[in-house]
Amino acid sequence: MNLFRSEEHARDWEEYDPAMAHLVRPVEWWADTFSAPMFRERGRSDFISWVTSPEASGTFAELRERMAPPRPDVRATTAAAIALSNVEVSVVDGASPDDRSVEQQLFGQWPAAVPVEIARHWRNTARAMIVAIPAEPLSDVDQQLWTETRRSAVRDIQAATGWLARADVGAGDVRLTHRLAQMGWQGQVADQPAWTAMEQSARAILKCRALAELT
Amino acid sequence: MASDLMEPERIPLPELDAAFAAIMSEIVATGVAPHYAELAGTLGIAPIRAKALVKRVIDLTPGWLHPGTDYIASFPPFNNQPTQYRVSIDGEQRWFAQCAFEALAIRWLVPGQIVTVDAPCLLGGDPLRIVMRDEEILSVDPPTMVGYTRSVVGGDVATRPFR
Repeated sequence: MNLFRSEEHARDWEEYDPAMAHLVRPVEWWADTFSAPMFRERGRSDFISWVTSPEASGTFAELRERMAPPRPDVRATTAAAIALSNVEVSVVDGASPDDRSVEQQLFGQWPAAVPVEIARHWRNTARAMIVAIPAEPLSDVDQQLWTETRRSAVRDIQAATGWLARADVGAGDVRLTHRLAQMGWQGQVADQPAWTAMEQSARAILKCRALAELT
Repeated sequence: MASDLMEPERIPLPELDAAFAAIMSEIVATGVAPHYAELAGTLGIAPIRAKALVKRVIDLTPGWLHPGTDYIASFPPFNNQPTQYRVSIDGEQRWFAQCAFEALAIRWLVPGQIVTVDAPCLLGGDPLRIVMRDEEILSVDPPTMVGYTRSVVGGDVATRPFR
């Protein structure tokens, strides 16, 4: 963050980005923001243990939520979702909560470029998005680190989008989760074997759609 | 043990806690982050182990090493490399903040002490000053001052391993 004499000075700065206009804030607002536990706790003797804990992940998600841009409409269009995610997504049309053919569509349409063992699926309907987040890290990723990354990604995505969401887990790659974190997401994480997770994900999409249609 | 020395992700958290605390304590006291060889002496460990600890701690926090070196460049809220955010504690200017955000967080490391941040406006260069103590913002001069970032908090998501 940079300091400016006034709001006008900030807006006249050559590197000013209108897309981040919501972060032109008085010093007092920033001081309050940087009163979050993430900053207050740095003096503790077990800071690294704390900062890698679920508690700290939650506080960081809250911090990012505070600094997030205005949320998109919960009924965001698919195009908006794609723009937000910067990830290839597919739309499943005509689904009903009991339509198992949708699951086949979901899995069958997953881009071939994404290895099955790395990322299961991203799917977006007009009103809801679902993603499978792996339960097990690659062999070179610390398990605890992986768990926290996964959970914070889930929280972040929904925080940013406000969409109904749920994350299930299968096999995967930390890079996928980083991409999720770029979107912001919040939802429930259920540790399940891959196939079960995929089935649940498909059903969760349908549930999201159904819920969205009710709201 | 030898393999552990070379695999930062397998370093136990208590070791990382001790390293973080030692580095932070040193920079709070002196304004300068220790080199890993100095940290080794503080912690009573081999320099190669201290080097691994530093790298891992940096990986897990929003700091960074100077590219191509083992020198700590940034250890938030402080910066080892001078920035335009000059920080005084109880009137003594010895510290630099990583950014204006982090400058506002230094007060949590020095309870009861007055933290003053002096920086120029990035547009016109006008002098700006913020004075804080614990929960209080004692003064903001000029009062029209704002903070602004065009970056996502915490930096690039791809480089944040657990957030």
